[in-house]
Amino acid sequence: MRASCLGLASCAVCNQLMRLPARRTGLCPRCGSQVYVRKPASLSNSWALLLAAVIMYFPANLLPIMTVMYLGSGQPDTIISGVIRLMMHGDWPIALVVFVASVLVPLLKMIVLLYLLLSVHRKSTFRRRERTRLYRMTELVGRWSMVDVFVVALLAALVHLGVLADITPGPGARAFAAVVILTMLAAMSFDPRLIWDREEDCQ
Amino acid sequence: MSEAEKPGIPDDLPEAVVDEWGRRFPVVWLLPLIALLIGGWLVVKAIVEKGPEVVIQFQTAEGIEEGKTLVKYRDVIVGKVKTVRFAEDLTHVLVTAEMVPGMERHLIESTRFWVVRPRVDSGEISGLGTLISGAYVAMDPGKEGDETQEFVGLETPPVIKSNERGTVYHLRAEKASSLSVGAPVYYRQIAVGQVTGYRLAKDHAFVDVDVFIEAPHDYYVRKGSRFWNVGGVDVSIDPEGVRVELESFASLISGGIAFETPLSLSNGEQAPEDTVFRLYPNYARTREKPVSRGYRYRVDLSGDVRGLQVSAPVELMGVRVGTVMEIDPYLDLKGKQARRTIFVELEAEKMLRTEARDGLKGDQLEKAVESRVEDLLARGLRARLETTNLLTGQKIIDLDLMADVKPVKLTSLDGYPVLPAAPGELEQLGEALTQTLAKLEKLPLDRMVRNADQMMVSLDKLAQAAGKALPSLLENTHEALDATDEAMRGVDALVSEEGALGTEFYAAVRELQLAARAVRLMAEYLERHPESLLKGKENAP
Repeated sequence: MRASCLGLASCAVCNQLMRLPARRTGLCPRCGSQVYVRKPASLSNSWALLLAAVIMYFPANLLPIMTVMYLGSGQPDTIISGVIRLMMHGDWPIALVVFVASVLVPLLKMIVLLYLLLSVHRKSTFRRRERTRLYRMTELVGRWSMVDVFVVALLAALVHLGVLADITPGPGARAFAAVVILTMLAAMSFDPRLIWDREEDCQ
Repeated sequence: MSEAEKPGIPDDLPEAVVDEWGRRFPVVWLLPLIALLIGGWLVVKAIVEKGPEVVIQFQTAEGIEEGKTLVKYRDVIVGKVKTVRFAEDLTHVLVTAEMVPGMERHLIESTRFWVVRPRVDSGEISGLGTLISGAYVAMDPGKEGDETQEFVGLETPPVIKSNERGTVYHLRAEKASSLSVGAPVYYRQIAVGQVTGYRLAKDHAFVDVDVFIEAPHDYYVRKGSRFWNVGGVDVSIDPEGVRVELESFASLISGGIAFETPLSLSNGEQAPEDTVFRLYPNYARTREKPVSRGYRYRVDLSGDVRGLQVSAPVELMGVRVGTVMEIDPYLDLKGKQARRTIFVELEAEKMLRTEARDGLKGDQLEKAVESRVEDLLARGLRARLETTNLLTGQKIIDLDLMADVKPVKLTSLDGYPVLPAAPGELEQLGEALTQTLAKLEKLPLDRMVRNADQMMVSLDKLAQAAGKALPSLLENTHEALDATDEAMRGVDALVSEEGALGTEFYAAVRELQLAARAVRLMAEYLERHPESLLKGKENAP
């Protein structure tokens, strides 16, 4: 038994319980906030943001994220080439951290979101509990990818030593930031309650 | 599902207000659209901005790193090395570089690439910056040529960058004589250019030297300019003593070239690019050789031409005006005397005054020279073979005005105007001797000797006869002398004071003395008393 089956919803702001019109969405009669059973256009928004994130993922990884000039020599690096460089220098742990935070996490996040969205569309009942946990993890871990962007922004702002060393951000940094923000927004607009929605429950 | 079956739901629940806005436009879908646009733009940009790729050949890839080494022009990055690989036969390396977009039209055949590394040359130290930043490939965009993707890199930096203004000239030298690329070119001892390259000419007959004269000094290069080598030290011995000349210290090491434009040419036009000049081995030689095309004349010499060489000078009254160009080995026997034809070239610059040849070209100039020669012929011009050096027997053709020849007109033979020949001075002397000897030879010596002999014989006879007659002759002579002596004594006695003649003589002289005194007295008296001439002498007081 759920409220939505009875055509009822509560205001997310003032918790006023109310009947919903046939459209299943409206404004709270008490505080005027929007009232909905599930986040409105959750799937559609999620899809749109995810798609945008996927598109931006390519430039984020293909374009150089920053250029480190050290003693007059240096070259722009993409995320992957930076990881490879770190590995070559023997900095395995750092390489791993960068790889996980900057490549793997955004990628996994997008894959997870894609999976969740598809499963909701198919109204799958497969391991709904685990899927919900997956969603929570995704939302939790997603923001940490922003660390990369902050590092680039900080270094670019701090390291301006002329000929000795100079760091300039590349176009990839912007795309990467866009990917992180878009995936976070996509995760936010996804309503995990959709995982549990089934027509049969209202029978 | 009926209302009654729903327990526990209060009936007085409010109903949500219908959102008049209704379902809004799904703005969120603009996001993937924007992302797509950005992504697409980036892709397009990447494709459009992908610069042209070039392949440059180098002998070694020293200092070149894949994906790191930059291509620079005027210290601005214009590309980056992508790959370095071997040519198929391992003889050189191929460096592939991606240039920045928009460089296509500068990637033409005349564009040059070279690797900038720290370099120490005789003249300069360059590329020190690359000690820290690493080597880079420098580019010098060319001016003309078709677009191309393949280049052969230079092993040494080019001396002259294409953006430097100036003019390229070519010099022909007999030998490279310590010239090196980058050697300076001097004009009045100021460095105004550089040697950009040298190589053997195709037929190995001379060395081609390319020089670059910087603007604005290239303006002083004229068609008649003379270039000579100033490399090293020029030591010469001349009548003033030993002379040591050194253009500059740098030229001592790397060699150098100097040029000079005769003042008479200084208001002409600049020599066009790629003009070929002769490179003289030293300054003195620039004075010897003709600077421009001369006009060919023939001289038919009858004597022995040993000692006369091609390039020997032709002098007009002691000043060089031309050069012996050719000595015809054929001995012409047609004339009275065997003759040999010498071809000489007379230089317009030496034969005519500057004003006289100003503005004349080609045929006109030739005509002017000819009319000058005609004038000279009218004054008795003759060509002679002269020995200038008695030790080595070197000879020159001397043009001289001779007083004792009759003037002739300019004729031409086999297409060449003829300079009439006269025997040389030594030759003349020889000839005179020969003539004298020939005359001597013609004398009837035999007869003369015979006559002389006969004369001697008769003289002898005469002497003998005289010998016989001599004693009586002597005696007679003696008597004659005695008689003479007596006669003389007689004369003496006659003339002496006591002699009759003497007394008479003295008396006469005394008379004369008295007469003279009387005259003198009278003269004195007359002087004092001129009136006595009329009145007569007054009585003495």
